[in-house]
Amino acid sequence: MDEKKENGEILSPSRLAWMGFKKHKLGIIGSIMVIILILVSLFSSVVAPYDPLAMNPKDSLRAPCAKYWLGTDRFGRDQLSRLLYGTRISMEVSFGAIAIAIFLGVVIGLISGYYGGILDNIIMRLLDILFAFPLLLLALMLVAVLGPSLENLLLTIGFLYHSRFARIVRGSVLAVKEKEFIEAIRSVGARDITIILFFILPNVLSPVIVQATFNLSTAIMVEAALSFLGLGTQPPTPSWGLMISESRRFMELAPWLAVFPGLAIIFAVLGFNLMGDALRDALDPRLSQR
Amino acid sequence: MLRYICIRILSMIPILLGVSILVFATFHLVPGDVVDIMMGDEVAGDPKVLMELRKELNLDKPVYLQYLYWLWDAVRGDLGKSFTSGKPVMEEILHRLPVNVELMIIAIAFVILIGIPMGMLSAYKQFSFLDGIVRVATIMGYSIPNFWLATIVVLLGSLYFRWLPVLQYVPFSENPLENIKCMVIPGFVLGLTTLSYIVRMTRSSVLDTLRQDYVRTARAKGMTEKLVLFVHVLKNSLIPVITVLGIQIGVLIGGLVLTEEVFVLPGVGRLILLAIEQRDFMIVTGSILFIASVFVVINLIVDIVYAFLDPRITY
Amino acid sequence: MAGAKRPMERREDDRLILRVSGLKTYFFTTEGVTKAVDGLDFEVRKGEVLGLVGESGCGKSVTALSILRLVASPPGRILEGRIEFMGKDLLRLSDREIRKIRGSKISMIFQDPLTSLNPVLRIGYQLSEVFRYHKGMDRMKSLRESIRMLKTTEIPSPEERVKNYPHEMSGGMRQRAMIAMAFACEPSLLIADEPTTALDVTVQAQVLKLMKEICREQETAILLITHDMGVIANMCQRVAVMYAGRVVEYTNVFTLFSEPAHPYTEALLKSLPRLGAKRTRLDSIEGQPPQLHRLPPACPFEPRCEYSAARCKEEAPGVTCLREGHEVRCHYPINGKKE
Repeated sequence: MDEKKENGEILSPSRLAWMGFKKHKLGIIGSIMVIILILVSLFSSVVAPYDPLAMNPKDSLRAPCAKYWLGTDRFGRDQLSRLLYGTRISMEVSFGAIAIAIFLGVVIGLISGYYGGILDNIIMRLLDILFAFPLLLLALMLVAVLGPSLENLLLTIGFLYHSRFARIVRGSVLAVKEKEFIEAIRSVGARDITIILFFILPNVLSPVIVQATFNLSTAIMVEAALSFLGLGTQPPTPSWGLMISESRRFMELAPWLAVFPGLAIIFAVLGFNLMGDALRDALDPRLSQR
Repeated sequence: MLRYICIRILSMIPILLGVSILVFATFHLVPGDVVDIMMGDEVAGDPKVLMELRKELNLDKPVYLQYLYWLWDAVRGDLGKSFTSGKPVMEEILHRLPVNVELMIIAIAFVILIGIPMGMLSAYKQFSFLDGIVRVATIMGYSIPNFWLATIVVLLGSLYFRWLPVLQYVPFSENPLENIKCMVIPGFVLGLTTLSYIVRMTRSSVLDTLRQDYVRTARAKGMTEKLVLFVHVLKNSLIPVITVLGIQIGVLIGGLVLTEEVFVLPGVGRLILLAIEQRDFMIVTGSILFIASVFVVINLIVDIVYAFLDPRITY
Repeated sequence: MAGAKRPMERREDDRLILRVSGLKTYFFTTEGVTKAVDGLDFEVRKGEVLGLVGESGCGKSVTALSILRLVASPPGRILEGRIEFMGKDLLRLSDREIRKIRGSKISMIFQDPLTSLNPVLRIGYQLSEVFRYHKGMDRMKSLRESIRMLKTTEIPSPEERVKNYPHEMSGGMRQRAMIAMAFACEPSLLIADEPTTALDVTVQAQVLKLMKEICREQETAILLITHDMGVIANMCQRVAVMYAGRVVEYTNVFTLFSEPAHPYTEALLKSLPRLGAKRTRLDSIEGQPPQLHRLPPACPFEPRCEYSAARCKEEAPGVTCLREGHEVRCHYPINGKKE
């Protein structure tokens, strides 16, 4: 399936991928953006000038100024600090959810692809059912039942996204399974679990990484959207989506409250998308049709 | 072709059954039952009323029977009655559906009429200034959350341009012109993310097709560039674009909820949101089952369009 | 100088159809400039079959595409040279004029009929396009002509075939359809780029025979591009051997096989299996085919040449005319009959 790579080059595949990635200028920019996001979320308590929850009614709805760079909301809470803490929430939810999704998806995909047959058929039909729902709608439904909270949001997004990983892993396993080296390993009597973990899994990782990067960006979007609708992160926790939602009541008085959280979402989504594009081009050009 | 369509229609049935089981299970297998969830913290419900309600909803019967009753009703178009308004859920949905349909039509038309030509142009003039702008714009385009963009549009509209019709929905039947006026902007906002995906997909697909041998053959036959592009390249490049469009319709349906919320349009999305708030689960289940079924049918249509475009598809 | 000689030449060669001289087609990529065709000269006369032979990557296909100006640009560009077709320099024609020639006066057949036919259009449509565009026929008439054309290529039940999509036909049938398309307007020149490489051996012979017959009927000259010496022997009158973007030997087919003068030609012939030969092993040509963006400064074949001498590393060889109609680009052409 992928025998078309130029042989004769002495470079290892990972080195080649790194070289491809380095060439991608936008990818480098994207990675820097992602690193900034991760640093901010790890050290939000250090970089934030104020306590994001501290109310200060005297300074309510201040426009951006020297004291409050991005202004304050109706309770006089510093917008910048809330944005920075919001980064942490956003990263927590998206990384946590995608971690769950990858775990579930990889396990299901490996089993389904490796064993094939009726089991594979059943699993794939079940996943088809998940794909039959518009994603946000399914999320709404699950959150409505589970009740709005950060943990439920994380679980919901994780559950929703696992199907994507499962499909991709299954596809890659099917391709790898037929390779001669798997046949060779099986012929010396290796157990299934050994073959799956040590020989198949490493070969399906790169599409998973690419998919994960893109899904991180959409998970950020879904988290923000659900929080915006009041079904995700609950006040007073600072979350980008929630901040936009709250800003709508004071739109004419304090338009800056609507602008900055949106820019933060764009920054995050853009960072992961750019990085994902570059990773995809470097690791797996065949994935370019999503 | 007819055989393919029949098979695809039949293969829809298990998917629809699965969808209905999932919706049913989500709302009926959580701790407590619908009535408990509905009543929420108000524990002090009249036990007799609760019993009545349980009986009416078949909650006193075994789970599989509950499902079958529910499914049978749903197939006949009866999705139950709203707890809050007492009206049939189906009536509530159909009453609001025109808003969704109109928004979707505007968004999809916007995506197809602008996205595909723009993607083709960008590919055909690869590396040009225009191509550069289109590429940057599309990357930005799908990084912008549509609910935020909607918020900003409303903000700008009301604050700076004194342009208030944005938030005043007028039904089409009352005043078509005013209706379109207040729907066009939300439709565009809804379609923007999808537009970016479609432009990108069209661009890369056209670029890929332009490199194909048969395009060279067409040129070697002496075809004009126009014929090459519109006869030999277009049809081939649309095949992957249609697939992406099919996936994106799901995204658009999700986006409807957000768009309706921000622009205060009375569609099914707001109906669901309000119902979730009021714990009116009959409306929530009914609407979600309804929309998911519609989505399954849309996907079927996309598949059939796909088969028409690509003669290599056989079943 | 060249201008003064021209009238005389034309009288001498009134059967001349195509003359390529000094053609240079380069590709400009990030890795450097690839000189795919680098100063190419050859001629094709009426009704003759000229073979253009060489390893893959020696610039054969780029030559074919250059003649019809179909080289993808960027990265490719035709830098200089003349391609005279019936007295007109194709490189100086407007886009409109060259389009009138493509598919009507000069047509092409490509290597892989599956990828060369549009997968989503019916065969009949793809064929009738030629008639519609070049002869201004309407839908019905062009379809009738297409069926007639398919009949001449001996495709069974052509009335049914026109409704087929390429994937519904066999490889041989697809190539017949390509041939029908190429001969639709009775071209003066057919450029066939590896027309049989992608086909089964049995089908190969049939397709070659078909091409030969139609050419004889329509008096079409062929520029046959191939790496297969067997096809050359079967089809051609004269042969140009290409190496690294240039013709290294140019002669008639008999001389080529009996008295190859260029070491590369000799090496190509040695790599052929022969009936009744004592050898048990076939010789392969030592070394890698040349990398066109990193050519040796002097003779490009020198690194692989078994007769390489000091002069070959310093000075690029010019064209030596061994006798009327036998030219070779080598400092030390091999003399005499082959052992």
